[in-house]
Amino acid sequence: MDSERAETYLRLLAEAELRRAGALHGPGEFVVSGPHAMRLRRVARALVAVRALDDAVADAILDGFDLAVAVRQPNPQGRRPAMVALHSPAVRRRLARLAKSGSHQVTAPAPPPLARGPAYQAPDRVVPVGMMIPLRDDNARGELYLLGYSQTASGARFTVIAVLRGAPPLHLPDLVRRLTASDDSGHAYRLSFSGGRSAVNWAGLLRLQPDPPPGIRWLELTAPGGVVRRINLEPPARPAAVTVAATTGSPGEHLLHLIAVQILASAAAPGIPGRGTRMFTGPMGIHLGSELGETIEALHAAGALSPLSPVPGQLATLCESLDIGGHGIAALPVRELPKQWLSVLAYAHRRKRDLTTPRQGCAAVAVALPELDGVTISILGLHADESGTMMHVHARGIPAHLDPDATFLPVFWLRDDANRWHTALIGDWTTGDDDEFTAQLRIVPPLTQGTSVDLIAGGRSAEVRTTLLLDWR
Amino acid sequence: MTFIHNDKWYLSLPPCSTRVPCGGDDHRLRWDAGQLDLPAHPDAESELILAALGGEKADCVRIAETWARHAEDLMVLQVGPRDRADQIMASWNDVPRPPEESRHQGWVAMSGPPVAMPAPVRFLNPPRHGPQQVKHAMQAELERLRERNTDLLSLLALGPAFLFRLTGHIAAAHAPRLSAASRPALHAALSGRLAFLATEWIGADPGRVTGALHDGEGWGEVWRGGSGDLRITLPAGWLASVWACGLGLVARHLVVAVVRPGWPDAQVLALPEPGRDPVLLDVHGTDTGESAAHWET
Repeated sequence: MDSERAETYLRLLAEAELRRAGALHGPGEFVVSGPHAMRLRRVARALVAVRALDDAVADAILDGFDLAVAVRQPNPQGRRPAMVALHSPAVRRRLARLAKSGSHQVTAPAPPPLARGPAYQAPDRVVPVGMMIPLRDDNARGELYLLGYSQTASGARFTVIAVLRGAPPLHLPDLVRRLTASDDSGHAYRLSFSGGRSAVNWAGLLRLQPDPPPGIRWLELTAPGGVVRRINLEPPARPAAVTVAATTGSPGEHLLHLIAVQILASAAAPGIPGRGTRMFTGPMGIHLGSELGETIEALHAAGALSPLSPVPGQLATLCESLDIGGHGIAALPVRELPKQWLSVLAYAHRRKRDLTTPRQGCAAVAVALPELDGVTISILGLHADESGTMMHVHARGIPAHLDPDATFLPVFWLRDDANRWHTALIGDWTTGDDDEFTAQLRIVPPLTQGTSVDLIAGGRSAEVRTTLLLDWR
Repeated sequence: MTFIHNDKWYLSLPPCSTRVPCGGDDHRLRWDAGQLDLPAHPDAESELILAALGGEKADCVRIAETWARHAEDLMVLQVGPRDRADQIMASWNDVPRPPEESRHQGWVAMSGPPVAMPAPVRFLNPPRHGPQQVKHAMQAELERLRERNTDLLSLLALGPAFLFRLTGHIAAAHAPRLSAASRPALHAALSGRLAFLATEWIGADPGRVTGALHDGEGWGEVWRGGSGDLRITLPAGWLASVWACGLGLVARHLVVAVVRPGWPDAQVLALPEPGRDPVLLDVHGTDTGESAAHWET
């Protein structure tokens, strides 16, 4: 990869876009937020995502472009060009990044951590739990399922699912406030819930405050009504086997696989017909129309993608098999697609796929994956309902300057025991602490049966494989 | 054959001047042989010392400082003009007043209609906890951008003649010491300007014109492909010694180098068309008072 080539490419594209916009010879369209600027931004984001271009360099080029456009336009609504440029998306994005990067300096108004020094260096702890806590009050009742426990530098939390019944419906955060917890050393903890609510259940995190000490062996949870459950937090005696292998693909191919996964996941999403052109959105934004071809061209120019790579041709085949026109990919479609793509495509093309009832329930599984491209990911349980299957993950090591939609997650593939492939994309909610991030990934197609899945997490530099044993409850 | 050194790139340029608002008056600002003069402030250095001691700084002096501050700023190449017809609409009315303006007379006296101030910038993801240091960092970044844009607008408001000359200064400063940090910007600046010249030269489609930096002996290369692609490889110093002096196209020849610089008479090496050998042309310039001089054989 060659950062000088990447920067040159983006600057030449900025020149071309300024020319195409007609801004150089007399007033043209106002393009600060127009299609020309958008194209430039998309290419900049792709080059930053494959680490071919530094974020600050990309910002400087986008700033220069915005100002170059602004000073060639009649004053819109009496605005000064400098001020118009200050309102540009590049500037807003940079300020938002500053806001995000600064948030980790904040000390949460919580009690001090227990029995640990100022520099907390204990390794992450990831433990499967698989326990149901009954919840009751006068009018309603429900169940709180604890899926997994993780303790990292930013704190300790359970991933949870709750099903609440009754009228009026219970509000989980209110109920959680009535839970109490204590550990094997007698320390007491408060619990707080953060997450979301679907038509069927609540899903999210149950956080412990203050942060427990690293050596905690168990925790007792007391629910309203006097129900007490002891949760074993000792790491499992036989952790899941995890293998790591270096990847042979380039950073550009990795990005294209991420885009392919977005397309496949959109095509196979519940309730969406399998064929036809539509908008595909995801971590890299919309990548259809001629934009996909432009992204590939930029990756070639930056040396992030070999001209001999088969992936552009595979993407062209994928687009054509889904009747997605105007993708702009110059490479000819190829006959062979990766087996994972074919498996999800087959599901997307199935007419009666929505009649298959997804597996209901939750599976307590917890695996800490080795670091991939600087990010450490832990799987903290799965749950399934009518809306699909979700995988709870925790990620640590995310650079503060990355946008929320940046491509810091690996490409996930899961193979069920019927040899069908599934992928996973960021789903309903996410939450960030310091350089950490917790999310539910939507598994597409949803898991329908089986007691295990093989999981592959493909990063830019390496690929991690493990098997998740699923004890659905 | 020897070409001019970068430190003498401006020898083929006539002096130019403009008027700038300064303390309620319009003062003349003059560029001559690579130097910026402030005729209304004959002792600008003393004024700078007084300003450092808390006195007022004249706007002319402030503009000269801005000029010096950006004499190597590659961003000017991205924002500045690509050719004579490229209309940049920045005027002194567009230049925000510096903060000190509230304390003394200066650009307050600028003429023109009042300009509406935009709404404050809103953040996509506001700081969740609102810590002071985050707010300060964001404010500082916004202030840095505002100052940079104000600087650039001040330079743009000087008009095209000064902008051509500033482009020359910047290119000449970087050309002898090309680096990974400067090559991409110079490459794009060269390409953007050659795209327009090539259209005027041989009717080339600007989208099919590629510029590249020549880094070696000789003037470079011009190559034309069968499908209308045109690749022009020239040294970064060409932006200064040729383009900034208005010599890019003379008598339907693309000037690739200056052999004997001078004003109003110079000798250049120029291509009648792609694929032909360059020829020596004796050229004569006329000061039109616009962005760059008009040259004829």
